[in-house]
Amino acid sequence: MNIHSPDEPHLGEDHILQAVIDDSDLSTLQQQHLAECSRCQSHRERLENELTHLGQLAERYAPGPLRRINVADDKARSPLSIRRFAVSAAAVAAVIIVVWATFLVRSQQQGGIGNLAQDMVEAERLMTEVNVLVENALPQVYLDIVGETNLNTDEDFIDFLIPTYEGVPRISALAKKGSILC
Amino acid sequence: MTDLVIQARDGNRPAFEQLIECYQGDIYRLIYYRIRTRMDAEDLTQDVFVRAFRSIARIREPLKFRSWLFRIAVNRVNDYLRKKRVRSIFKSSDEGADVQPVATDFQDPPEALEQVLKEDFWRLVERISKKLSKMEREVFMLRFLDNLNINEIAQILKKSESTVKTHLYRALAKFKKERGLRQFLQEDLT
Repeated sequence: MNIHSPDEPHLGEDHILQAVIDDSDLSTLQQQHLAECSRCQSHRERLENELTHLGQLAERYAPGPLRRINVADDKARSPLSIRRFAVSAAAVAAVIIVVWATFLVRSQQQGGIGNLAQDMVEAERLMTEVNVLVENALPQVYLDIVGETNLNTDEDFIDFLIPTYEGVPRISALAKKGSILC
Repeated sequence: MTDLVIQARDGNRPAFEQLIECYQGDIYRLIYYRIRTRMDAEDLTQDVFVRAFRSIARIREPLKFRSWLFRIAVNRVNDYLRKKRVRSIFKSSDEGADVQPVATDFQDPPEALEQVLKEDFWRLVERISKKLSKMEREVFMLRFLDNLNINEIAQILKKSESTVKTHLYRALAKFKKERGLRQFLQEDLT
């Protein structure tokens, strides 16, 4: 039934789309034209049928659900159990952190004492070397050259070389009188 | 239906179970259309109803229960797809593992034909989906696959009706140019 005047232009593609979405968005004239023009109506219906069939096919080609929905069985996912799990996880994490921190601190302390002992040993060795140098600053080679290698000779040997005066050992006499006797 | 929602809101579990009966199919299909995996669609449907059950006490307008439930489903699907995208960055080898194979060899001819048509249909839907923007795709699917009206879509997506119409208009303009899908639909209609 086309009571529409042949001279009047038909609705364009964009107006047909608008009509499919919501025909109240068309102007009054366009709505009137659509109501009267069979060509525009069929254009619109063809598109609407395709879209309706799209929905029907989607429903037909979607497999049906096999499982029944049961909200009662979802206790495992309840907020309470999630909260409990979070608290437990936090407690375990805290214990791990405490144990690890204790171990770390202890190992650092042990490392500090070890280093201190090593420093003391090295200092001791250095002091010994310094003391040796104070006693005999020259190396052994030079001591041999100057003939002072036997500086540790005992007092008997000195008495043999320099007899004592009136039974007083010479060295002792030197110490007592404070003057050179030879 | 509003009475059922009010009863469920007041803690009546059988009333909520009746609501599940009413909407399970719609929600499952909404999810399946978007993720195309039956097992995951079932899991997500279960999850949607569990979430709805937990928060139904807070629903203010029982009349809007349907759009409220669909919004939960749409958001849940978006979360799922987002996580899937992130996972696909790290793991690309199992891509397509979810796709159910077309087992035509051992099927009777009518079933095999149906299976081929089904595969073709979803391939064509996938093709047009890729040509639409995210919002265009969402409004197009909600309108023509999930059969919701403009007002419900606006509520689900929290957009104005004019915004929904604009996206729908653009989506339809692209659909009109999609000859493969339109030809498939026309042939199936005749």
